[in-house]
Amino acid sequence: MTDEFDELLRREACRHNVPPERVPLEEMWDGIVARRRERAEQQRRRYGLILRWGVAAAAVLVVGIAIGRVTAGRRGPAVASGNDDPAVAAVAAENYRYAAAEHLDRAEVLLTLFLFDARQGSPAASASTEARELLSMNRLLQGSPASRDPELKALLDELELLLMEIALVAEQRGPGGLELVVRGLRENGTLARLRAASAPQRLVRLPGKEL
Amino acid sequence: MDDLELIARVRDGDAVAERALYEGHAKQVYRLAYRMAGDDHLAREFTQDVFVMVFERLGQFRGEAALSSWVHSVATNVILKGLRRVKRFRERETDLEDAEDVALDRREAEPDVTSRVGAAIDRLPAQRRVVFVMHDVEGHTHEEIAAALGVQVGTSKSQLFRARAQLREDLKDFEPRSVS
Repeated sequence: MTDEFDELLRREACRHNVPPERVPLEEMWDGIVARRRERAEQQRRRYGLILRWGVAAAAVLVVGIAIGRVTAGRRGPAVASGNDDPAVAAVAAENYRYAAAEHLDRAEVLLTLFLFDARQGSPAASASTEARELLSMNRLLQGSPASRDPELKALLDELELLLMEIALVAEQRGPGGLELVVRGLRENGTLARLRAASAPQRLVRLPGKEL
Repeated sequence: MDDLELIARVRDGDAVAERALYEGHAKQVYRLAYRMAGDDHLAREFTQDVFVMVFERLGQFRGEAALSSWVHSVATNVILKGLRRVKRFRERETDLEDAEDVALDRREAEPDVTSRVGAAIDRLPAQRRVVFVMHDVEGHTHEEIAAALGVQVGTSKSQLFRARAQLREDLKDFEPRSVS
């Protein structure tokens, strides 16, 4: 019965969601070319934006410090306060979710490819660079005042440790430590939790995207 | 041109090599995407996402495994993520009343065996479904599936076992002898 049923399942499964004979290679290729061009353009814009904001933030910081120093002698100690404007807080939270979604996506890809490489014996050296980049972003997200989700925070804490290990293991490119990282990754189910966490984050940032 | 030469040329920005890499793997990726999504539009979207990522990440491929295994690992990752996104989107779009309609026993409306098996496959959790489709439909080995999903071979085998068990349970009232 089981063999017969499995055979029936296989046969009928082959008739389910049968791809069309003609694969739309040309149309998809055009789409790929367009998407790559668009991504390159987006990246250029993003770097430009980051640079502009960076310069602006640095300028504000310098002016702030200068004002602080000038007025420090005239006033008593100021009490630090958070931003109470709900609109500003909402924008900050939305930006944080956007950044977290991007970050979790990138981390998921890195971990998937790292596991794939680990099966071949050693991780790619470029994984170290990427892990370090992600580590910097991870720390920014961990320290952000907009971080309010305890589950995300726990995941970021775990990711920090993992990224440090991957950066070291990939740099040394030897088997030492690799097995330990892979086992830790599997036993903790980090990848699965990362996937679960990144999906709702992604929805938040893609309200208008056609699915 | 072998895989290593092809990869080296793609990394050097050779447009002809990029196209050759795409043509060498696009049909398999599209087929898997279509089998999983059951929709031409989504299959195209996922395939395009896969190759955008393949070209972006090719620098990380060291050529120790087959290029096709690596492309499949990117593909399953992208497809599973895409399906989760679509599922959540559709769940949001469908209000409770509609959901009840959708949840009505589809078997009554779809009495033929292929539709019933198809509906049962669609109800499998995504990762279990991808293992079932890759193994039983597309004919991949457990080693290939494990490499693509970043899991151990034993996990792939147990996922297939569970997928078949779930399908058997889902279709237990089905009489094989009634199939023409």
